[in-house]
Amino acid sequence: MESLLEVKDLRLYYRTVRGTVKAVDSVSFHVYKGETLALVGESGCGKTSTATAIMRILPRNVDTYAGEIILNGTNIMRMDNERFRKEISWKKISMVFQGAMNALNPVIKIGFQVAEPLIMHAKMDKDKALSKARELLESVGLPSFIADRYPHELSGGMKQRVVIAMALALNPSVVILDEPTSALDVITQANIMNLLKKLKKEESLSYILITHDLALSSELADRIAVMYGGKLVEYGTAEQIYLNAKHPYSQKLLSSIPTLRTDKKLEFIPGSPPDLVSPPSGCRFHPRCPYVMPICKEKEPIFQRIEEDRYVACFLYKE
Amino acid sequence: MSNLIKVQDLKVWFPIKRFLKKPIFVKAVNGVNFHLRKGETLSIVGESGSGKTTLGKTCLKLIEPTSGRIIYDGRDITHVPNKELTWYRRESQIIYQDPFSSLNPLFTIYRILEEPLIINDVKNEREEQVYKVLQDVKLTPVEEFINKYPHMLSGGQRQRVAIARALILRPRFIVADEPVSMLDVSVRVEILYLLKELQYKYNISFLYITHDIATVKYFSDRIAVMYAGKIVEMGDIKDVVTEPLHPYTKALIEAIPDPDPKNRFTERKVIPGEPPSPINLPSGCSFHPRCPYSDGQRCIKEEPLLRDFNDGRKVACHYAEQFIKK
Amino acid sequence: MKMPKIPRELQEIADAILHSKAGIFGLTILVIIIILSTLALIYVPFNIAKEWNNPLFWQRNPRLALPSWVNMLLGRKLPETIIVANESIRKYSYYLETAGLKCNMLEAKFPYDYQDFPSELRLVLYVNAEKILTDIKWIQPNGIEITLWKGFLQGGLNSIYISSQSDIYDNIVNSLKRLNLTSYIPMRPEIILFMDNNSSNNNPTPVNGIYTLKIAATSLNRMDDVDAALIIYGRVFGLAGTDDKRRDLFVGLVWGAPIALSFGLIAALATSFLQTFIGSLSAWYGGLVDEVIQRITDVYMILPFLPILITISIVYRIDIWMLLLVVVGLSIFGGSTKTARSMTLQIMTEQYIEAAISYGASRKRILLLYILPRLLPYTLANIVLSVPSYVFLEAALSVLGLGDPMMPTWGKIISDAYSGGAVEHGLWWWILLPSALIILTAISFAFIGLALDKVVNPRLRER
Repeated sequence: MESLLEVKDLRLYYRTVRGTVKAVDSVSFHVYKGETLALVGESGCGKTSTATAIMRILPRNVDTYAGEIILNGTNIMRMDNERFRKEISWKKISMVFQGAMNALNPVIKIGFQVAEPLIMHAKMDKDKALSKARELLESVGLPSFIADRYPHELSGGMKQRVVIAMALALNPSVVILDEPTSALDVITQANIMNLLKKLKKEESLSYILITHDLALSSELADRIAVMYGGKLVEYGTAEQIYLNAKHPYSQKLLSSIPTLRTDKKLEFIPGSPPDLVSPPSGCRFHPRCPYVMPICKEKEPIFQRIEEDRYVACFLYKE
Repeated sequence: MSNLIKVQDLKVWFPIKRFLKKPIFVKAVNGVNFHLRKGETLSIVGESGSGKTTLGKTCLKLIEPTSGRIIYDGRDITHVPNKELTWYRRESQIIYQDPFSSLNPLFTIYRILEEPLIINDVKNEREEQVYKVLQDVKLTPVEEFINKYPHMLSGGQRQRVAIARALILRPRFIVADEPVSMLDVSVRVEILYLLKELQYKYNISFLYITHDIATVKYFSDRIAVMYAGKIVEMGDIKDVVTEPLHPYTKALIEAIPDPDPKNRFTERKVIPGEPPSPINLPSGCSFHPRCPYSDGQRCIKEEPLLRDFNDGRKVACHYAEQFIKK
Repeated sequence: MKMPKIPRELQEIADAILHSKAGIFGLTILVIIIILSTLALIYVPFNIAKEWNNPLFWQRNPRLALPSWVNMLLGRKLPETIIVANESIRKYSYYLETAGLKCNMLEAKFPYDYQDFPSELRLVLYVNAEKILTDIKWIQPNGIEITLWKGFLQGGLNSIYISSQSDIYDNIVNSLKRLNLTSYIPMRPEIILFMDNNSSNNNPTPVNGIYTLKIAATSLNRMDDVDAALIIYGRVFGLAGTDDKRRDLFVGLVWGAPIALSFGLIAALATSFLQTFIGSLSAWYGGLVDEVIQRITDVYMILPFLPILITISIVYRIDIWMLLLVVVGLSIFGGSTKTARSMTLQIMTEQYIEAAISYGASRKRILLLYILPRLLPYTLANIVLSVPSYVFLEAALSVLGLGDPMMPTWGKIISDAYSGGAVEHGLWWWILLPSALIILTAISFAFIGLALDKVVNPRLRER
């Protein structure tokens, strides 16, 4: 498998009045060409921060921004901002932000908004950009007359398609999707997921799908990385995670999914997510873990390889 | 009489005034009939625009009904003005979807919970009641929470406070409007189990409004599926979920993802399009433009009525019989 | 009804001010001004300030004197006021039985060590007799003797204005002629009496040494008595100099501080709270109330504020508190009404408001407890930002001559300075000192307002 994007030891800390928030604390993973990696975890675990760190959309109060992000052999973290903006941002990697559909400019027609990345980054002239915008809208399943409408005339599902079209405008190889369906109804959600599946096949896209919904991620994910408290706790293929999750947190996540298809009694995770300013000692999950051992309170488990391309950070497993 | 609430042919239409033209109406709720027994949970399931939230708020008289009747505990409260409904405001409560904006950011948790008691002139034992209700929703140790402000709590904790606030006046009827939709998946069922526990404990009737049909199994006795302002299917939860008789219900169930890694290899079977605009409803059966079973004639001309089937099931579809499993 | 705690949003304000350099700077200046105000009350008690418009009270001060600290900046020392009286005057008297005459001799000696001349000379004689014959002589340290005056004085208080009376001037000229010192003649008396005859007329310098003033007073009664006080008015006085009515400007400036601050604060507080409350009310109750209030606000905003104020001030002579009332009255509706209305409209959409209705809260309660406290940071920032405008307004009206004619406000001092010819005669301290204080006040509030900008403008906040 060809590795398209490799993230190594990515760290993003930022300063607040209460202390330094370790939002992303040494995260490493691969995204392979034509594959989807799902980054899964509860709210506040750092998955959105990981995405914005890759896109270099940093908050003002950054304390540490370190690690390596290697795209097609080049370490894009080393690039200066100008070059990153010209070559990478939106061209090689683009992003669909959480709630992006609500961030469409209400006073500008859809066509112009989709054309904007083409005009700004690809330096196309206006007419060419607008006609390419209509093509893009059709490729996401919207009729081209939508280009002449305003955002408030569109439904939630249609707006989300527009935002996806904008992300695809410059033919990126990697698209980061942050909770792309969180505000949508189930049927619309299923339609969007079908669209994403289709685009993945047709354009050979690689996705990084960020979500707290493990069931939803099964619609796209080839590989899954589970995040907790700013760190990765498990990484493996979809089959490995769904059928044989190793980390107690992954197991609990799976068993808390509401489902109509089985009658299994659901479990849920007691307690709440950790404070990223002063996380628990040792393994960050230990206060909520049903298998906690004394060592878990003292030492942090290493994110270690237990099989080919299979990683877990837990003292229950040895390499 | 074991019915706490009976709703008959309820319609809620919002007028949009237009200059020099006849007003057009947003037909949010367009003829709904149901009853809710004491100590029972009825789920109202539908997509956005189906009218479910409007229905819930109208039952609480937060919105005035356009026509039809709402009968609460034998009393017709349809047209009773707000001034005379203070007694009803004690007996009925609402839990909102958004745990961020449903709590007053200026008040401490203690104060937020005390407020309904103050307004309703409860003089004694306010502190004890606040403590008790916090224990009911399992926010313990109580002292850790009472002096905090909402922004200091997590989403799940805030929602528990919202539930506690709904409980503190010992209501008999609670409308829960998408109470878990904004919470993480891992937290949803925990909250729903909590609601169920509180229901048994205090014999509260719930109207559980949601778009996520996967969750209804964990907190419902009966379910009503809404589409374009009308109920299209209603019945016991187990029956509807295992044997849906309306194409829309079937579509909803099929759209839910389950954690199966094979899902990524195939397109999920799902109906296309969006729910219709409440201003401009399709003719005949409102669902026909999206229905995979539409016959192209009767479904377009004739609106199906809600018909009775076995075991208290009601379905509004001309061809519901074909879905009955033999 | 227990008030809800609002420490978080006030805490945000305090944090914003204390955590920014601008805020600390502004706050420091403000604190200094407040200290000045308290000094006013302690150091210069009200009974002194009360006499601001009483010319007699300030008699002993020089006119248009510079502040004393000017001496530190200049090379030479400008004279301060010297009052020669009581112990400094040697008195002796004798009664001639045979002639029936009482002779009172007063000898006033004083040292003069300045390099510059006094501004004015005045001799006050307290005559405890019906009538006396007086002979007044002036003796320089170098022995030059000049007759100032000879003549009859009535009983009571007699002031002899050496610097300005023409008969005194004639006497001085005659004395000089007899002494053959005619080159002095074109000079003013206070210069001539002190001048060193060796220095040139273009650049006169005073003689330093002990001066003597001899007064011989003759009268008919044994019991008759005379007392004197010689006032040699200096060129410098106090910390802020004096104006043309001899008033100590320090008193005026110091008392101007609390007046300026209280006017500014009260006006700012009243208008800000009123506008915010009304705007919020308008949005919350909606319907007809909303329409009426918005239309009234529109009319108010069109009205020309300053011309109306000027007209009222001209037609009715008003004092400063009446002025305050009129200003507030003209500002009940304004821009903040509209802003508060928008903010309230947005807050109204939040679910906790509807939730409150669901558990029975009255509309009044929701407005007072749930909505208005959310507007508090905006109101407070508004207050701080508008205080300097009102301070300037009061000063501007006073400069135009339309303010309170009685109170010693900074604006009044500037106004007096203009009409007193400060600009033409270069009396810089009279204008610059009060102006500097007004500007300083405005700057302090502007800086505090800068620090508060983060609280008021949510987009500048870092979450």
